[in-house]
Amino acid sequence: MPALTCDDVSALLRTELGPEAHRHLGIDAPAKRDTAIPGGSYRAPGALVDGFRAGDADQPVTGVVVTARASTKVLHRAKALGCNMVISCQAFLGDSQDRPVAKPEPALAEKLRFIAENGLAVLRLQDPRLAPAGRAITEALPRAIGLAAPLPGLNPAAGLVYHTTGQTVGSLAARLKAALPTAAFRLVGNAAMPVRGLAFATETNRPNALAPLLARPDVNLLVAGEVHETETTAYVLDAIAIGEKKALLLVGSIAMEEPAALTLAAWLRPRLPVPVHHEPSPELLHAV
Amino acid sequence: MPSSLVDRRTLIFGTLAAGLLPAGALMAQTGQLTAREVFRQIKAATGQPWDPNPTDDRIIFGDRNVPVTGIATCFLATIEVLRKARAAGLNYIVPHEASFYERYDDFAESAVADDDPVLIAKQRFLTENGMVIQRLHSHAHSRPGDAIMLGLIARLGWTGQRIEDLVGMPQVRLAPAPAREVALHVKAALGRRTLRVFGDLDRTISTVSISAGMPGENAHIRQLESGTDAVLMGEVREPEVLGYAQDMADSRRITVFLSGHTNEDAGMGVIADWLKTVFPALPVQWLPIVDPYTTPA
Repeated sequence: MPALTCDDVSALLRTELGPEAHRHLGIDAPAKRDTAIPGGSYRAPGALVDGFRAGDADQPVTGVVVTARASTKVLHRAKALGCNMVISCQAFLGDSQDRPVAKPEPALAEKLRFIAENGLAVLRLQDPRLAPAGRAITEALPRAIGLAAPLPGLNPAAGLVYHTTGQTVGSLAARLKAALPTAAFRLVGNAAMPVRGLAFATETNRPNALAPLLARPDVNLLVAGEVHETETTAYVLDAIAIGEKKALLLVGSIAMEEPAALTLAAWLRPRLPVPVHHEPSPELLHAV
Repeated sequence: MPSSLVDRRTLIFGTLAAGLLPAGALMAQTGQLTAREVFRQIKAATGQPWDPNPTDDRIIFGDRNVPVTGIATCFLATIEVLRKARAAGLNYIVPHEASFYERYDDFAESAVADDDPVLIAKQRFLTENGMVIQRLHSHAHSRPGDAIMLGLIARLGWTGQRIEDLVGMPQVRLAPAPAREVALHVKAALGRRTLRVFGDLDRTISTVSISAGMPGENAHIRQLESGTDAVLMGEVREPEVLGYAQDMADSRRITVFLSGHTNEDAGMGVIADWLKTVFPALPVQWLPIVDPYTTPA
């Protein structure tokens, strides 16, 4: 029987987690001036990110590390654990789509060298997926704070919406803080505001155009990893200024992926004949 | 257009557009400068070739023929800032950033619905108060020395500490101090209610590379690799920039102060000071923004 390869693991994930939930149906042309900011801080709304971004996917897999972001430290841990496949929820190579960098800067060059010298293969896996196992990963963070199921019928790539009672922004923030490895939340709005409905932005490594989630009449709290401050933050400030009871809670784009990484590792572990580990990837921010 | 429908003002502007009257004659019937003329004079006073792209320095909203009662500069033309402008009798608003929740104020590209209640309320407020919005982004940065950067460094009190520039990102040398102390200074100087910091707060730092706003991850990574002890940034894309700092910290020490996109706010104070010299007869005021963020307990 041929050895299980990293690509076989990826094929299993694609099959069992289901197809990607495209945020925009049909053709997604790049936004008109998508490249105006060098480095691609904005990207086309329909761009997907999943796939092998570094290393040889055809090699036999010795073990898998699942992490919120494949930092250099996590890669060292993978090597120490004897795992040659790393699954990173967040971008890890310098741009949101992990595209090849023509002239890698020193820390990135060092990272790429470490990956090559140690025969690692790194799979990016962040696109929300539609099969039940895929949905469970996308919904890992809300579930971690006790929210059962999102409103049905919504495209999970556009966001998840939950109706709640008896919670305030502050009480939900405390639950989220307990579920995420971060000390640096940012809030726009009033912590004492009762929350009727909250939305989770599921693709916040591409954080433009999140205002429509919060514009929904049944949503008054938006939870996102990060936003474009001059767009979504500006929208929330104006919504509050005209008397709408709305708030925005930013929890960190890397930290936000931690429950998804934990859930994916737990799902994958019994399905593979090799060890599967979850490695935390704390963002290491302080709030001063 | 049939000649019987051409009113006097239309005729005047048509004549002026053809270059038949001196620009100084471009006045509304009240004797005040029109928004169109104020914008023309701003463009001329920059002494730069004017290119509205890629960041759309143009009249974004409002009637170009409205008489200008005064100029307000700001980082963001939030409704709160617009209310302050109205109270101060200023109706020509010059924000640094976009006003309608899309980075170029491009309604065709915007994800916000045309009938969004917040968008409608803002447009109504502007219209009812005869306000005009003219964005000034690229041409604020391309003022001599970069007005936005000058304002930020002055606000930090670091103007005299500049040592060199790295492609538009100045560096300063401060008296050696723990990162926490510098962070508290940055927080107070920029009027922030919360400041995020990456790295060891007890580490002693001296040199700091500074960027304003969101120049993009390529620029941010150049900044991180510039050899300074610390970097001060505005808004970053976290997986790319904070992620790079994490990777870098695996072998080298670095401190990152994330001071938010609003770190460009003070630069619009520098723009207000300049516009006072362009329009000595008009009230001109910088309307600062309050830090949008707090840290929930």
